[in-house]
Amino acid sequence: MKTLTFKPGGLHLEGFKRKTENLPIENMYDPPKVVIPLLQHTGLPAVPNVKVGDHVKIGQKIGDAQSDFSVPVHSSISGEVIAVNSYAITIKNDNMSEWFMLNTESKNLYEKEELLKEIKESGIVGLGGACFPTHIKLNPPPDAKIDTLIINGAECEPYLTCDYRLMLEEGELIFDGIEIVEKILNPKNIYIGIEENKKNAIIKLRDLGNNRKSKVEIVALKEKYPQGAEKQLIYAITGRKVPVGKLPFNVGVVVHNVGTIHAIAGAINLKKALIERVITVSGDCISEPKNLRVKIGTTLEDVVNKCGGFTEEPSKIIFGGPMMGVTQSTLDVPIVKGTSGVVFLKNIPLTEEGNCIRCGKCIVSCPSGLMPVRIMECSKNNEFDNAEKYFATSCIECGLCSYICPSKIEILSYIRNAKVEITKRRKRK
Amino acid sequence: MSEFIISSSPHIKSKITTKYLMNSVIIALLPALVAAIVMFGYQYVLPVVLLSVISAVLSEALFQKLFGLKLTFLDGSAALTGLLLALCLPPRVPLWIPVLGSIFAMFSKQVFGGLGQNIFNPALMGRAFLLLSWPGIMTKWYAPFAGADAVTTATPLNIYKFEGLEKLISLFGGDIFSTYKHLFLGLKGGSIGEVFIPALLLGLIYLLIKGVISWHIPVSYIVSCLVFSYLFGLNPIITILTGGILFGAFFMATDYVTSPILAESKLIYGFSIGFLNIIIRKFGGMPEGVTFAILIMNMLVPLLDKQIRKPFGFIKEKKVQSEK
Repeated sequence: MKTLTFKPGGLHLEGFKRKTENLPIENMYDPPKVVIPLLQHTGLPAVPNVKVGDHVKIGQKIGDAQSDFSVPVHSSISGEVIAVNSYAITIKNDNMSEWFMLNTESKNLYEKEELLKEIKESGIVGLGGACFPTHIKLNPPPDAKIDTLIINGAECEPYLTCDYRLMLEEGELIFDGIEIVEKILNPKNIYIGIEENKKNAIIKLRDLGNNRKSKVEIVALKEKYPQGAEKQLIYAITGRKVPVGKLPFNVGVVVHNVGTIHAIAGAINLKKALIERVITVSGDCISEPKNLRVKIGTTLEDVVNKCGGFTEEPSKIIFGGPMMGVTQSTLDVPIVKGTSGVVFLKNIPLTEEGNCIRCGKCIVSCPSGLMPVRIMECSKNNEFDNAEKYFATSCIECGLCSYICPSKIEILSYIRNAKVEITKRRKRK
Repeated sequence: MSEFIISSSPHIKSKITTKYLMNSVIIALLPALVAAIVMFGYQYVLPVVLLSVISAVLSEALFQKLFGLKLTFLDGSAALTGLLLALCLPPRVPLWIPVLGSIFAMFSKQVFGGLGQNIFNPALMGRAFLLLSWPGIMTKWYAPFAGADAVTTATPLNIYKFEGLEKLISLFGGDIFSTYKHLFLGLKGGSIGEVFIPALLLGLIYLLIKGVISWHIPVSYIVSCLVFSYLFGLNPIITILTGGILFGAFFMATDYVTSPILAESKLIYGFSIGFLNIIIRKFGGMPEGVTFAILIMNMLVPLLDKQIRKPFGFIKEKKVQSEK
């Protein structure tokens, strides 16, 4: 298979995807309660429009977007609101599974503005993990000439297979979603980029595309992390380099994750707000790894129970993949819109940081073409102006430098520190 | 329910460790060691190598203790230094030579702060120290397969430098190709590990395939030697097949700590070493030159490392904007 990829840097990682890649998406039961955070996206938090004691239905809006750079949140179950605070709304399930009735008359007849409004009102954000409000990404400044839409099905993080299963099982909805986005952006070229290790998804979507006479081109990508990073994906597929400090629309490209596109189809065609998503539950100590469709706000504890509990107590719980995911301190946390998976790991080797031996592996593998070791040194010495000279702010935090370091130095942590300091200083100026 | 670890990403680490890398280089040197045992005799090779390795490890431990540094003497780097030093000593040196050499090598490393901090390649520092202190012992060569009653011999490098190409060819079968063959197969006087070139190539290929080193330094070093030896009227093939150029290019100049970190700088570094090496061979008092060529360039590494790599998507016009 002819595959495309990016340069510089990147690394083939052990995938650990076999655990779940052949498991069909399973629907999880509605949990006894959900906790719906008001800020599950980049931007301003939603403002609750319900109060304790209110009865809500599935898909009912319970928090309003407070500005354009914000999205609303919806109840994912039917039941009673039992707590509202400035962070989250908790709802107790009444097991009635009542749906909130939406206006269902006009189907597929929307204009661009209406579509964008509907997408926003459905609470859709980037489901790849960044959670950027989708309606903003779909509405680039008027002077940006968008000619290319890329659907990101790379799924380059180890363990995660939820996008793969979605492409394999619900490809029609992905094409429906693409048609909707096509109406909004009117791009000349549309690609779905998929890493070659997901061969079945590539074949499946190519077949679907042929049947639908779609102009969408399915592109096989090399299995190389971070193939799904936005700028790297754009370069692999179009050969365009997004300049430092610029965004994809500056080179005429908009990128959306397959999960997001799927959710757009759900919102527009099926009138379903974003109340559930597919997550991969995996790792080395969960009894039954699964690809699970869960209601937003389901607590992790319920998910673990659904997956048969642990074979051994995990030492780390990661929301997202092991390269860029965020650890959780407790099982009492809700699954949110941006949770692409939950990875449970035991036996995390606590390695002591050794001396840098200047092997340069962090430099060779950096997809942003940086010198991570240099930024680390600057950061250690509090020389943040120097860190800036080494383009610390171009770091995409893919984690390869820390991953590859033979001395087990947490290079990325030092770079993050430098980035924070640089941003602070810029604000002060 | 127990506590879960909170940490920032990434949450998985590659299996590659410092120890793994050091051990890889040690493995890459094993063919050369085996060849040396076969050619010079185990009784002349193994004691030197073992003493060198053991004293390197022990003296690293000692200096780390003395200087109050973290004890990391078992990470393979000291053992590697000991092995490298032993392999670039002449066969049949008195046994206190590798011991003193290793102690000095480790001192030169720890005095800068240990692994990763040292400016000079420790093994070459050990060798340079021995060469300057006991030049007689360090330039007493024996031919391979010489047996117990061997007499010292001149290295082809010496013959080439002081007696000329004709003489060298006459010693190695009379024509130039048989000379190349003899030199390639190591039928010549020389340091323990440097004579049998197929073993060195095997080690290099192993390191390249394993991704332990990149091609930049060995290739630029050797190309530079070929170019400058040709320009200075030396036979390029004989130049790289004699002395320690290949050993130095594969295993010494590629030392992570004392070589530049960026690919472009590595090319400049390798090319400069080759140039200095040929200058020393052509115009210097010594026939060799690998040791000092590399040590001199070690000093310039911080300068070469000043270069800042341009990130992905970097465009120059950014500068114009910021000047507004």
